[in-house]
Amino acid sequence: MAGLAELKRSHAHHLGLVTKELPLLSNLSAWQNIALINQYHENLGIKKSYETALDLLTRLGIESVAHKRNPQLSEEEIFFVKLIRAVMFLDAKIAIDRPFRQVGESLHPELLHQHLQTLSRYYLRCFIFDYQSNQERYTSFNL
Amino acid sequence: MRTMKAFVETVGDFSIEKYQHLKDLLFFSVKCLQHLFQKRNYNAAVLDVLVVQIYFTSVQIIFLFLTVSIVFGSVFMGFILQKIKNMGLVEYLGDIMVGFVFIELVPFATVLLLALRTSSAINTEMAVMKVNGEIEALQSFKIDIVNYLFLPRIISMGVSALVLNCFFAVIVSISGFLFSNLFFDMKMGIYVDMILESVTFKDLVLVFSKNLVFAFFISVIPLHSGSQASPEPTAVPVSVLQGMVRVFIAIVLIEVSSLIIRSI
Repeated sequence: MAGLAELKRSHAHHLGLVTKELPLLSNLSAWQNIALINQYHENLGIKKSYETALDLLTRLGIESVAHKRNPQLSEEEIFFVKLIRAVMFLDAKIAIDRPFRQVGESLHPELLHQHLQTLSRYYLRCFIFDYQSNQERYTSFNL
Repeated sequence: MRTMKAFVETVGDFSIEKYQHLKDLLFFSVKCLQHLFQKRNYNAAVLDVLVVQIYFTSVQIIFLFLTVSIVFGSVFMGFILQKIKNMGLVEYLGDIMVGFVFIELVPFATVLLLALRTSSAINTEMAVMKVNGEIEALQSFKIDIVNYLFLPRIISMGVSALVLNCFFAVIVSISGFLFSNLFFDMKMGIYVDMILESVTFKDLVLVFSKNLVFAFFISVIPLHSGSQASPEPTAVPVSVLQGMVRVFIAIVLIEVSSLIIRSI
């Protein structure tokens, strides 16, 4: 993934990465993993950051996972929690590394597209890195 | 001749490795100290972790700690006072209580309990986070691991060492009074006077600083050891083992240094 490495170098400051190699913190629940970014970088209080995290989880229809930790989540839930965590950066550019490798074949590209659109006001640009052979899965993205 | 050369090389390699590790640890300690005194490092996320860590380190341990201090304190004070009675040293009771029990024994026992329970947990937690890639995840989101992971653990260890030391000292004092009353028919007022007359401001400063130095090193060493673990699952037990050996060496060195400082 030479492109991803290049992107990491050139957009190091606000790049929210969604990759299998960067897991959720296992001692934090899903909402805490999301809220951590705001709490740390913007010094946002616990109540406000909880509300933000819960709002975003609700928008993606996975608010039921808010209080669950990493081992209790399905691969798809982990993926979307990581996606929300990535958009938490102010003026974020997000990079998703091989989504089907992270979730498996059960991931519907339309669902990913829909969730990215739902979160679109939170990020500036989104880069998806995948194998050439998976290109046709992204037809709904109007690339 | 060849064997001699191999021996010298082995000793040299060992010394260089140990020196390098000590240097790394000292740099790491200085870095942590620098971060510790910068106000801007304390944001909502760090304070959140700090509260949780104080709960884990000071509150969750209380029941176990009080039980151990009551049992250990009573047995130990019974033994000490019995010896004082046999040797006819009752007029030195205050000096013995302050000089030996409060300044040496209580901080040492407190730090041993904290090291056994909390330092090992910190070392394991850091090594597991390293192996799982969680430390890398934090860094990729521009979260300084010294601020977010290390500072709360160092501060909570300091708070715990001071608070638990006070609890232990109170329990040992009560045991001391009960046994003094039993062996010497000593009244509460006389017992308190004997102790207060033996306490100096220097003693208080020494106990306070000793606890903080203990707390700093029994948190920094496992943090360093855990965060330096190699990223394989088998590295976790190795890291904990090495970290805990270093913690106990540090405890002994600090204890010896404190004895030397007192004797000057």
